[in-house]
Amino acid sequence: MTILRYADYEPRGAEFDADVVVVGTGAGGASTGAILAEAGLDVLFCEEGGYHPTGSFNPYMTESMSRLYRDSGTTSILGTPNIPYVEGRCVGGSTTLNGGMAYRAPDHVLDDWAATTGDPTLGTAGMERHFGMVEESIHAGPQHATSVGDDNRIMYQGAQKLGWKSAVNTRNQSHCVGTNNCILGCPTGAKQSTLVSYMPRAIRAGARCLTEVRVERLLIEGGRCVGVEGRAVNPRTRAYDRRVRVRARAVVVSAGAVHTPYLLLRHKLRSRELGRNFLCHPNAKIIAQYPFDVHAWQGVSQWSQVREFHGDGIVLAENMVPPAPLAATIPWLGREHMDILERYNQTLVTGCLVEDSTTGRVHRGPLGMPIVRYDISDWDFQRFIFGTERLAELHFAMGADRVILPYRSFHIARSMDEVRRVTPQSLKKSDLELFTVHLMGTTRMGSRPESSVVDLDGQLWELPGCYVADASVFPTAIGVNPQVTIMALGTRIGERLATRLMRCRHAAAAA
Amino acid sequence: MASHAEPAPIVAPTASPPPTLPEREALARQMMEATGELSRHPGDGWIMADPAPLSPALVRKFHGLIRAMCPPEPRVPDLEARIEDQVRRMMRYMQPLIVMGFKAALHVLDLAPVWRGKSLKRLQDLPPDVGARILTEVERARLGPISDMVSAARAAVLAPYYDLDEVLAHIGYTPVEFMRRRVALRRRLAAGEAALDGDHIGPYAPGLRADNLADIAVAAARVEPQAKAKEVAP
Repeated sequence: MTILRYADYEPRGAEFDADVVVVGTGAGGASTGAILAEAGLDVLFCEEGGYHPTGSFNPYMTESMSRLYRDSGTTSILGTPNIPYVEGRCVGGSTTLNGGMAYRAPDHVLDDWAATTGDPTLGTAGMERHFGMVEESIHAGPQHATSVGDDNRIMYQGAQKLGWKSAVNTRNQSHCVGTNNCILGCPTGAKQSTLVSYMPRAIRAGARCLTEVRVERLLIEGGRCVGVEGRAVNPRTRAYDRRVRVRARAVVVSAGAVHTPYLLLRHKLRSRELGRNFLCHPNAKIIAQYPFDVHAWQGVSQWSQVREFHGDGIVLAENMVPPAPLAATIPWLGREHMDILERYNQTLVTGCLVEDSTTGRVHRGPLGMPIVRYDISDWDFQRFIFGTERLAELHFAMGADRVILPYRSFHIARSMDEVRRVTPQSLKKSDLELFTVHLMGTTRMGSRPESSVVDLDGQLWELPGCYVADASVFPTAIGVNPQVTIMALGTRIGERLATRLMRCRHAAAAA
Repeated sequence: MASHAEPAPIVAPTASPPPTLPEREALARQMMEATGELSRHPGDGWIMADPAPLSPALVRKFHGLIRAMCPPEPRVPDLEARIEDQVRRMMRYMQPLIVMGFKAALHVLDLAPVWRGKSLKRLQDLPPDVGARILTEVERARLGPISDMVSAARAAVLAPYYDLDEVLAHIGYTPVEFMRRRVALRRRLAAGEAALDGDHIGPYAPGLRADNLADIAVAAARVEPQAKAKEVAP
């Protein structure tokens, strides 16, 4: 069997053997695993979530949250303010649930990485081949015209009206037709998440996948990582009650920027940098209501982005969501709440993303819970207020009759005069209502063990045989949606690991 | 450096025999295949967790919170029981500390009318509109974690509420038929057919131009696959 579930594991414990075990099937794990499998290695994925094929996706949120999201979407970063975040827990990881933006890390970021690490292959030219491979695999390209809805028309024409620059997004999609169900899984199969791109490649090349298994520790023998151990979760009780052990010649940890350091921290590695440098691209939601129907739930998410303020690390974009997640975030109760949602067809959800100017840290908390600490900086605070004001300006310019602002103490604005009353002096940081999905940077890559956690091959400085391939290896924030950069680094790490392992295989065969 | 150490020699894997190529091909196809089924409880073999245990007293408190938070219209049969069931199932997937916090919130918010000095009755015994007013006050009073409890409880109650068929119909969100049409459209496009005029979405709103966006999108589609975003000057 290629994909195993809880019922497939022996109650007394299950043991597996492979050349490489990859923990996670998201952007990093799936891309690395596919490269390794296609090189002829026996690859075994360990995925904490379940396997849900394209045909199982639907527009209903409540059950989908439990099926697809970590902790049913109840995860949060602690700080000022607290920032809720979500990540995938299913085959495909967060790529199954993201908006499908396919951006490379900007040239200045890559060149900074090259300069910082002293490795030119991490720079723009050095990464070109890997980005090209990824973009071909996930069909990165602009949208077809039939997928564009009124939400994107409003954003694009609003930017034109105000004289702002826009950028047409490249997205990982093949014939996307704009169902706008990205966050609950693409029901058409158009979004090229790893579920429909890298994982099928890996499966065709012979990889296997253990699902519903949470990896809890690394197996270390003689100072070398030789496998992983975890437990499978009973689907009815959610008790982790079946032990699963995988022995392998190399371990690739791709559990994301929170759970990768959480797993590694268990082993009391001495690296000072492990868990530090947490980055998250926080963003604020600005909800506009128009006096006419826009049916923003029809049409692709983020056909374009407003890039006028990108020089200050601010990106503005449409980000329509189904009613249930919208209802969870807007204030008010009872009748007042329904007054907002009854105008769902006239509603447009937009976001202001701010590039990090500070970092946070991941700790191991009690009862299997990671604790993430992160406080926004004064500059971030000012940029959120600036970006929110600009988005409100766009909406009012396009005819919105009210805007719901992301401030606890000041929610409704019916004109720009009302919006301008909000200043950094009239608010506190804790008044901001933020959200994030881009988690990065907690096991950063580098050329020196004192300032990084993994080397330029993605291998832990302190633990041979253990590699990291996900957003946690980013040396710095990238300011754009990270999945393509994660996949490019995953490809690079996979190629280098495959070369090393195949060299060993050939040496053993020759001997 | 440790990272330059060579891995141990590779030996043949000892797990069960590998699946055949046709089996792997079939699985890869299943991963990618759009069925257009879109059912609320998809039959993909996944088992949803049983409801998490809650004492009868906590259930009464939870029902009081649901009545206070949910809008009075549209009237939904078995509202409290349906939201309770959904939330109790979701609790199985949450971190234990979060579940403990949720249960604590049920206790604290049930007594909110008393400790706010608004009534001698608990939330579960008050009319829903009175309860909603008190909870709104608590949230706006900036009482730190207690205000956050209202925000978290609102998300836990209102997200499942706005996922009920009756409520989705009431607010005019009817995605299933739309999505089925789009699944069919994608099949046509993937088969090489050209899009028809009726395949475009909207424009619904007055004053929005469909033409220039369509032109830009078609032009953008001619760009070689990949690259970086093409900036469009206003």
